[in-house]
Amino acid sequence: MAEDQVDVLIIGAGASGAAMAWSLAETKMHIVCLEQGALMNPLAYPSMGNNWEARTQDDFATNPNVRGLPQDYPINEDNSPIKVANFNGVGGGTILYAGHFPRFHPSDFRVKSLDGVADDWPIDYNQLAPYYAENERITGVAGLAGDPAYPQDNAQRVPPLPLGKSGEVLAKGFNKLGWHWWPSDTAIITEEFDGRAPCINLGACGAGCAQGAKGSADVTYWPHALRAGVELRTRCRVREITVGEDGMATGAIYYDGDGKEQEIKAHVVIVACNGIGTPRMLLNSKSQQHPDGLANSSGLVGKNLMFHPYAWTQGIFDEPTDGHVGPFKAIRSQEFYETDSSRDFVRGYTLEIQRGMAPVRMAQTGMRMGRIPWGEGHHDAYRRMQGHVTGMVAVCEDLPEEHNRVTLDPTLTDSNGIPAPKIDYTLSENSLRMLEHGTARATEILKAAGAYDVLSESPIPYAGWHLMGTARMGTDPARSVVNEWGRAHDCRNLFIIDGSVFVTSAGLNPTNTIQALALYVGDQIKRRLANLFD
Amino acid sequence: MTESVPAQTVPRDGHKLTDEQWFTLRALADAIVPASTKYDVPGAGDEAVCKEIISDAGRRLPRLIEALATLNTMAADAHGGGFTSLEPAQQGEVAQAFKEAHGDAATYVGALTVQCYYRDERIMASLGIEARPPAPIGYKMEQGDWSLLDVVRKRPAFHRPAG
Repeated sequence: MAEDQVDVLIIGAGASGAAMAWSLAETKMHIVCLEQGALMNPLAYPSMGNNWEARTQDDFATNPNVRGLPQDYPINEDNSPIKVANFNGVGGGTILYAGHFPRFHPSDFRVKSLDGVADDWPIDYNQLAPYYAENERITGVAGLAGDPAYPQDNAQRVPPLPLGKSGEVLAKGFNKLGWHWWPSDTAIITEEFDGRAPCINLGACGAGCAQGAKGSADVTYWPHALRAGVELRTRCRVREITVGEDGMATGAIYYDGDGKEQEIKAHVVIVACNGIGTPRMLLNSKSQQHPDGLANSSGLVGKNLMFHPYAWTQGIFDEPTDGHVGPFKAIRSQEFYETDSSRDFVRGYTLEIQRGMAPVRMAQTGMRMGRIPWGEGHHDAYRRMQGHVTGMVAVCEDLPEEHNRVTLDPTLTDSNGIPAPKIDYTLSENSLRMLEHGTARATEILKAAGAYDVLSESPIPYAGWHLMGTARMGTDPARSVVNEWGRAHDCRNLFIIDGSVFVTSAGLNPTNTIQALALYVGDQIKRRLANLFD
Repeated sequence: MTESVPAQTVPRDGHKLTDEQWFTLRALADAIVPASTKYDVPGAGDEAVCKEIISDAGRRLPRLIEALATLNTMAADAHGGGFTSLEPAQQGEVAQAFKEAHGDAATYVGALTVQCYYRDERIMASLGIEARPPAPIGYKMEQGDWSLLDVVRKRPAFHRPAG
């Protein structure tokens, strides 16, 4: 076999891997990305068939243990009230995400200084702002400038998603209470953008966008990166990152689509496998030089796992809502985002509007919440709810705690025999209080908007969308895994660019920040090419 | 029970149900979502809907079969006969007891039932929803009243200084 030697190896073709591939492509280096899943085919997305809602609970389920596809790795999450949501394929989790695309607030980078908890980031909002702007320019973001919850920005936006009936109903509720709301910044285009067609309100954002209007990384960054010469190898699952005698990364060993073991050599290795997959990869890469796992001299690889605990609250209205039609997101509120010393918790949350429910989900939710009975009364109850429900989720900031962690399961493995991750996670008192506050405020809003019945669930179990903190960024090698520009303290040619590097989680969706960080790290690499390993 | 077993009890994925399992499934599905003359819709025990249920169960069919067996055991314990031999009122009573005693199994069967029922074109027509996939046609959406935002636009900036 010819030696497989490249300049840069990127592991993972999701949100951050795609952005990094595009960023580095201009260097004309030989860049290879290994992805354990496949390139997506929009014609095969669930929304092309009548059984589309059923498929969101099967091969397009958010939880890998439910999907159980060959490209998925199992996760032992028995010891966590929140279960992991991910997707393994080109585009990663962005294939299934709703596209909510906010920036962090400036205060999110200064949690320790402002509130005395967790840690400050080693970078700040102003450093990341140009990369947010670049990411939004590549992805295509619908929204509206002027949100008083944010500093002024130079974001390029297409017109916001429709308010629709649901947005209108809820906006009236917010206005009645005098509380903030604003059209969500959403990675769903409302007009033609970069050769992609606009949203046609399929209402199936969470199962892959067959229209290509949602900015999943396979339709945003990847076409540009591939045209620029990046090589993408799909159905290739990395077992471990290899190291030399000097402790530097030398490449990776992986299994190709036929299950054959392969080795690739690289001068630079970049890990982009998300907050669960990345610590799993590092912990599986033990060597004489790195006996506790690669880049783990701090012992922090896998620790400080953060999700966003979600509180879900929905109202039933006499007036019609959007039902199964339209993108999931419309508006958001950050009335309760920043710390308020009069509350019994620090930090805060975003209230994110969920537009409505498609027919099957409505029936399942109504039955699960005890509003739609079996037998007599089923039809009347269902018809009262179908097309008459809307509500919101509170996306709560999760603070880092070392006991919340990813380790390797002693017995569970994936289909290639690679040890699978195990999660141990508990909700903090701060999170529980925040969830309670979010549910109570959402209930007030729904009632002010005219809801005659309110349903709630907290935390939502299958909502571990946001996987953060397990290879944190920092300037102190004893207290962090990567430095302030994404390079591992222990391994000078190893970079980590996914949500693992988050120091804190903020109280909002992280994809824009994950990708902005990847672009920022990409720029740091390009600026330092002459002395990258010093 | 005089109804003959339809040939379609062999679902597309190759799994087989016994006669007893097939008719128990149909009776249970009807107990979950009964037919309605008011809305002119069949129950979920409709043959076409139940064929979809078996198909959708796919690799989880054993879980469905286990739930049906549990239901039959409960029916026998309560009334001395299989679920299909009971009067509709007794079936409803046993179904409710099953739901209370075996929450996970009942949630699974209920979810599976409605995921097939609420895509059937007869039901969709009754609800006034087009029975078609969302793509590639999509849907029209109203913009809504954007003047509602005027009051928020007037609000001073309130993001927290980061020092």
